[in-house]
Amino acid sequence: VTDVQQHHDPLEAALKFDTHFEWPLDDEPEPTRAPVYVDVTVRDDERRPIIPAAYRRGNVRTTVRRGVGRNSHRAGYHVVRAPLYATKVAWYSTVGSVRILGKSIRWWWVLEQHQLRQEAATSNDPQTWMKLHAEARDTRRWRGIVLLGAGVGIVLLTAALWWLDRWWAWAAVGIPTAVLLAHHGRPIDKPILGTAVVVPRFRMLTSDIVLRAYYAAKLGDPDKAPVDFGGTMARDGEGSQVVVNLPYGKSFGDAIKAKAAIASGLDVAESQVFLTRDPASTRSHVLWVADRDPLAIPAGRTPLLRLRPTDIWAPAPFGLDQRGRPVSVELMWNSLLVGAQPRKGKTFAARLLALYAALDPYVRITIIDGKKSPDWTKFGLVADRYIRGTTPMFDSGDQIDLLIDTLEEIKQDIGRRNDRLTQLPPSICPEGKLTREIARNPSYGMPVRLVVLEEFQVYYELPEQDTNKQIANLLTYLASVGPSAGVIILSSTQKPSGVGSGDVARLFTRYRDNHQIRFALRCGNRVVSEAVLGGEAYNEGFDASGLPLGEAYRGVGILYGDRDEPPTVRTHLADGVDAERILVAARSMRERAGTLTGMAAGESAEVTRRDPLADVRTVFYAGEAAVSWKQIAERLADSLPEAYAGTTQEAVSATVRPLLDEESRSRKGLNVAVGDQRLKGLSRTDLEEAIARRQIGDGR
Amino acid sequence: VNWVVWASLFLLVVALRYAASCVWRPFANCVKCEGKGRFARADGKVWRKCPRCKGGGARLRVGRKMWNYMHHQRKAAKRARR
Repeated sequence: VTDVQQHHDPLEAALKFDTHFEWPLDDEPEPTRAPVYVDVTVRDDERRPIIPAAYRRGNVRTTVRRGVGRNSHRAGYHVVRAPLYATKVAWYSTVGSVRILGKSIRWWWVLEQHQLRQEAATSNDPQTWMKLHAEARDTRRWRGIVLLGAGVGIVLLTAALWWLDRWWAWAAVGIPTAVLLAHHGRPIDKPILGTAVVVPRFRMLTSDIVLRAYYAAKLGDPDKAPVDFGGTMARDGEGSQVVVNLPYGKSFGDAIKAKAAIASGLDVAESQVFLTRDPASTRSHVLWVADRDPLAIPAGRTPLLRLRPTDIWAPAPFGLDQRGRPVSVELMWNSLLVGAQPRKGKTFAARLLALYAALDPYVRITIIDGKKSPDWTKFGLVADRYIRGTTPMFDSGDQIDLLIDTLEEIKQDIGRRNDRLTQLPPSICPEGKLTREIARNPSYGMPVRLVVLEEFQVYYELPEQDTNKQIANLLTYLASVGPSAGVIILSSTQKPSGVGSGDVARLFTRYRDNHQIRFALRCGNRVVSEAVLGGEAYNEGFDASGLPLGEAYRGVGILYGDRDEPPTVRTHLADGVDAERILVAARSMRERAGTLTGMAAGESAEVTRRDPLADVRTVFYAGEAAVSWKQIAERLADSLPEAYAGTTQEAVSATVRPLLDEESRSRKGLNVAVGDQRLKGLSRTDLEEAIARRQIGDGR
Repeated sequence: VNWVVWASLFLLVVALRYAASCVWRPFANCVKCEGKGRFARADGKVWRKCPRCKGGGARLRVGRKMWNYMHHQRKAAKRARR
């Protein structure tokens, strides 16, 4: 300890002592600083604008136009109905005059006292009755005088009008009188004027209602653990918002669990209640209550229908969130998983994003559609590769071979890209990553790629486990490496768990969990929702099985993973006709940009499965009993360069040997006599035996 | 036949009038003291209260009394039911 005190140079001390806790690394805090109280918060006072926003310079014109439009609508509405109103007034004023007459008579006769007099008579109390009677008599006298005066007044007014005999005088007195009488004559629930403009009205959320809801949800107790507010109730969008402070010890998770109870206490639908975490404290959160069910209002058609070129490097418009704010998805560097029950808008949601990518002519699109649905057919106009289902197609051959070939090609492309990007000078490629300039410059040959996998679980459940495994390995590689190399993955599935068995199941889960962004439409249960959104989403209160059910809620889902506050999105609509329009436009854009490739450009992508035995048979010249592997490789490379360019004798031997029969394989080293030498090679008899056996064996 | 109609109409009017007076003027003069409520000597210096109306000078009409009786019966029956 004495040692430590002698050394005041930190570096020297640090060298001497090799563990940090023996020497203070941080400076001592300055003791002179004034203490800061945690509770004190300074809030800026809210300043109301001097001139309301509606009457500012830019807005006056619109405000006036709106006002005029509204009121002229009102005027027109009522003018058209004027005859109806006149009839109504005539009838109701008759009723009204009778009513007013009756009312005045009852008033004159002091009928409000009648009940008391009857009580006195019923209880046989003559004295009280006499007193009441005397009082009533006096009252009747002066009320009678008043009514007489009124009657005389009416008569005089009528006489004056008669004497004046002007229509306007009659109108000036008659119309207000008639309206007044009609007002008294009409039934209380039937106003004379109709309603021209219906102003939407919503129940005002008050702090009392909120407190009632939280206490009813057992999140606090008015006496022991009160709930309070972190601010005043405010309007936000089409709803009310307030910061709620739960009692100490209650957390945001408790509020999420009690969401249904809170909604019941607020007397609204559960989908109208939104709880958002407050980053400052788990005790407090933001409560937002929508005026009406926000998810039942459709988000409208997609803005892509403007048919303008898009940019994959910019976020893709996706829909509206619960507060009516636009939601967009950053596709670049990302992979996205869409999951839901069937018939809930899964394909439409995935296709919406794919259409955005299609409108960027510099994106190379691969469509892998496991369910062979007509929804994706039109993507054939732009897609580099388009794989449909699992069974062979008449025009593009075996789809599984095509899929494996496509995935292999993408895998090689990713590897090639990463190599080239590291070789590029930093002036062009500053971060060693793909940039917009490189991707859009065809001379680099590294366009952004989009791989759409619709119902990809199909390819994990093929009859042959080996094929499943091969595809699963490729997809896992693609999902883990693709996004950072500019290959965007857009997968959708209705079965996000329990697919495949053994290694395939493990690879499936790994592939699924590699997606950064998740979009879950309505799911059947919590487990499926968790599989799509990931385990942590449920704890944060996001459960796609809790999304509302019904026709109005198609295309509503939770977008999780790319922002702090996962929104509930109503996706834009692009139906089959819209998709076709967009894709036709996308194709012509690609034609102009010269980026139409692959199957869309008319290339046949059929993968011809080579038959090695037949190929080898062609390089056996007439009369040759045996050829060495080396020579076979040379001859193959020579005669069939598109398949065997650069092949080696080892490769050829490794391909052919497993196809030979047991006996010829077991022959030591397959030594054959070529000329006068004994070399490693293949004899004609062995080859022909293998071909014949195969023809007998499996008929290929 | 004609006189029967007239007679029954007359009786109806009388009955209605009596019913109305039972409502609007349920009290009539006491039969014993004729509404005075007291009996006095001719010079008026000595008097006593009417024993029947206890000085009030009023009595309930018979019709009203019947109505009251029925009213109280009804109330009692209601209370008993409850």
